[in-house]
Amino acid sequence: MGLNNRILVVDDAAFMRMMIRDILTKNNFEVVGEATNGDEAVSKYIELKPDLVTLDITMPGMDGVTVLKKIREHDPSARVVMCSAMGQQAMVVEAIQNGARDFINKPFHPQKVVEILRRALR
Amino acid sequence: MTVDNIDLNTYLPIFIEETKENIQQISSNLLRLEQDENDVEAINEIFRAAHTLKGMSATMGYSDISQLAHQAENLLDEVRNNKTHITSTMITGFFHIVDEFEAQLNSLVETGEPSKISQERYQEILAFFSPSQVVAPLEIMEKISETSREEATEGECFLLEIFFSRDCQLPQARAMIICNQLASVGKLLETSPSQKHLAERDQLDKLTCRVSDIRPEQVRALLEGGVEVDYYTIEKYNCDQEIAPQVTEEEGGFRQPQDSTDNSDSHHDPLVLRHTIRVDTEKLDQLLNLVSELVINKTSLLQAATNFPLLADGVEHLHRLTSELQVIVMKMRMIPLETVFNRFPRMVRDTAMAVDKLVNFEIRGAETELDRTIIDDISDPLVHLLRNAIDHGIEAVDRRVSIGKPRTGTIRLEAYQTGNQVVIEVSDDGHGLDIEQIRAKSREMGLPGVDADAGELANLIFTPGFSTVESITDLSGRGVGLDVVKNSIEALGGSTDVYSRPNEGTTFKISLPLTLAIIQGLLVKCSEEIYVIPLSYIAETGIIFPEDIQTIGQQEIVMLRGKVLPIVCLNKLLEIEGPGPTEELSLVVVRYGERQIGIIVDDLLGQQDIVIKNVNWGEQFFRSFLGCSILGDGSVVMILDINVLLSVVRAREVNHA
Amino acid sequence: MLKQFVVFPLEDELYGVDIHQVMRIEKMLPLTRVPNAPSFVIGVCNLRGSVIPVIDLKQRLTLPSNIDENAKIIFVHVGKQVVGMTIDSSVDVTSIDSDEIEPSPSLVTGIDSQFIQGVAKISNRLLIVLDMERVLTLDQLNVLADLD
Repeated sequence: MGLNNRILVVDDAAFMRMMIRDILTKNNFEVVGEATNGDEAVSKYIELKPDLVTLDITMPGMDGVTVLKKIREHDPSARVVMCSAMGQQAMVVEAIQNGARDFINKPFHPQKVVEILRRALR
Repeated sequence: MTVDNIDLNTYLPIFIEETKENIQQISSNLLRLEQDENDVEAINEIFRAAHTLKGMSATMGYSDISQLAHQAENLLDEVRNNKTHITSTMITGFFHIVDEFEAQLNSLVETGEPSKISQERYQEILAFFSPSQVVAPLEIMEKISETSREEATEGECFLLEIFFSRDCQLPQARAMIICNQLASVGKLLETSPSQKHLAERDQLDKLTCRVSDIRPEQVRALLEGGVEVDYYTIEKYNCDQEIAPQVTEEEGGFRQPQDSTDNSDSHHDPLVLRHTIRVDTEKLDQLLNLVSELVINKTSLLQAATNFPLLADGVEHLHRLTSELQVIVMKMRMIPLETVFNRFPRMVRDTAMAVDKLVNFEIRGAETELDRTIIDDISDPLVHLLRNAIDHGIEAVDRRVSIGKPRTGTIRLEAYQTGNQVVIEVSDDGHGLDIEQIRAKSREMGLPGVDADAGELANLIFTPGFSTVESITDLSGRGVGLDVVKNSIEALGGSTDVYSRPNEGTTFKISLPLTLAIIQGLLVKCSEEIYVIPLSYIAETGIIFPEDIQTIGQQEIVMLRGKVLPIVCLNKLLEIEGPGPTEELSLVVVRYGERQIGIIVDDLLGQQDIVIKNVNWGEQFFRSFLGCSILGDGSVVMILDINVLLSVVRAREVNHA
Repeated sequence: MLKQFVVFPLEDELYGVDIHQVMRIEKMLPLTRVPNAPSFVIGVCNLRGSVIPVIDLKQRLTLPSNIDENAKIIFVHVGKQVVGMTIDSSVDVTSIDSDEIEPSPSLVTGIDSQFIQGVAKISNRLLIVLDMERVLTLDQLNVLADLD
């Protein structure tokens, strides 16, 4: 897996964080941090310098796309994979236009999540 | 059930908990929305909660819940985009959605599976919204196909056709990512649909691109192993040629969310969340039990150490540590009242609507914390009091107008902590209790009353069978009176009180102990038996002599600072054998609500931490007591229930009257 | 099916309790009186940190009561409830085929037949198998007299 597998998981729902963390740790990623909102996500990104961020699109306060912009403002090479649910096409598209590497869709399929993250980390 | 190799049951408890929170979010924000239909923040909050619900339930495979959430989310999106406005019908519709979520959740809790939402019910709910607001279960494909042409450049050119698999989610976004990646490796000359239109596409199964300055193996590296891409073709291409326009839609309308049922079971590592952990409440109970044992043992050590000065320091330190541990364990068990209060606004709204009254409901101090064992049992009594307030307290609108009160009545639910007690007040600005009617009723029932003051009389409404309202409405009444409220509160070691002023309103006051498990108690001795009096009830202690005791009717009293204090002699009351009153008697004055009574005992032994233990058999035999406790020497003592003592005094007064 | 029973004599008869319902048997423990409880509730004791009510089994079965220093407490559980019952000294464990337990002929014994699950013969003596649920169910008759 190499060394670039340090992931920051951002989602306001503990359920989702737990799920992502579970999938990732089982597949030899290292979850270096979790954030429950945008502000926390940005500060954790700066603090932890993860190789990749999984970022929920819908969160209270700052939404995912805004967080993405902030993170990429700080680090233009930041690898961010958006987490979205059905019906968020516009947000996903906006995120991709703003430099998101990829997206994973809820419901999560572990195999896909892993593959997408591996691809995004390449 | 599993999705790929994840056992979803692992997530069920947290799913249930967060779903509850989200439903609560929706519910409370709907109420806000009802107050102000333009409350954008409330709309956003509901939208967000519905969205989270949708994602979580889809992940768990609960398609009915996610469809409903999807519907709610879309409806709100219409509102957010100003395509439609919130109406009261819509709010009612949303409440129906909330009800359905709750029903689904209940079924999930009870049976492990959500129940199916019938088509009729689904239609019934959607009927609250205009048809144009309702979306099809999932997005319908569109027929859009565009080609555009960009400048061709030199170098080797490839025509790439990428077919997305049926279960590829958001293929249009996937296509955009592929375009980005291709562009980062080589030159992306042209795509169909065009990149500009990709973003607007609702459905896509094929992406055609012309790329140059790229090697086929680079393309392969990008696309292979991708679960989202079914297959692709790559061929050398004449750079001048255009891509033929194409139609990419499938026949048929709906695209279903994929349903993976791969059942490969595998165990995964336990999870560690960083900042908070969720603990099984049973473990908390076990911890509390252990700490209780520790407290008991500490107490016996403290007693033993008095004879061994060398031990004193160590034991003193142990004492401090145990106390700290006890405080922490107690705090861990505390839950804000919010969890109970949250569901009341909805209940008050529905109740007020049902009886056609206007009620403004205020909640204060919802952040006040109580032990979870108490929280669990506080809800029903509060519902009862709130319904009473709406039903009997607040006047009908006409009546309010005619006596110059605001049309809308106010009901306030307020919680606050004082000392080691939590007080919850339910007050209304209605017509107040009819003291004269209570007086008449109490006379009829043979209760003391003629000479009682208004405060005493008001409290008689907690007597079983006491109801002054002749017409029993649908809501409260029904024979279940305030005595049930009082009993439930007392079962929790609390007390009830009522204050009322004519035409100004009524306040019910519930006082509860912060925790049920460990209290401070005064050990008292009667003959050879030891009993505990909870310290929180004790007003003062003193010494009296047998000749100080006088008798009025059946009631023994002493004069305390010029006031009559009814007393109970524990020896007589509890039929304790042994020598009768000695020279000096100890008097413990206890306060219960507005009343004070004196308890006569032989001796006071001092105060200490008392771990309340309940017996789980023959509760009716222990009704005279709050519970039992084990002392440091291993002996069992009974904890006196002040309310029972008070009822003895009341009974004597009735006989006297 | 062979079932095991904890067997003990009370007055002239042998009584048995299904061994699965018996938690432990202890020598007499210090008891704390419960004021205002009916007389067959003789107190509460501290059983390893739990407060357990103790009843006088003989009184409960309407037999003449006399608790002496040889008395033991047999702790039984019915559901989640645990209750101690005083019995006279000796205790034994016997296996009986459940087919051999017959419905009680109500006239045979001196105790209320509602407490009896059945009877069986062991070495020419009659064993009365107690219905613990019934023994520990408190009907309306047993509700305590009010204070005062």
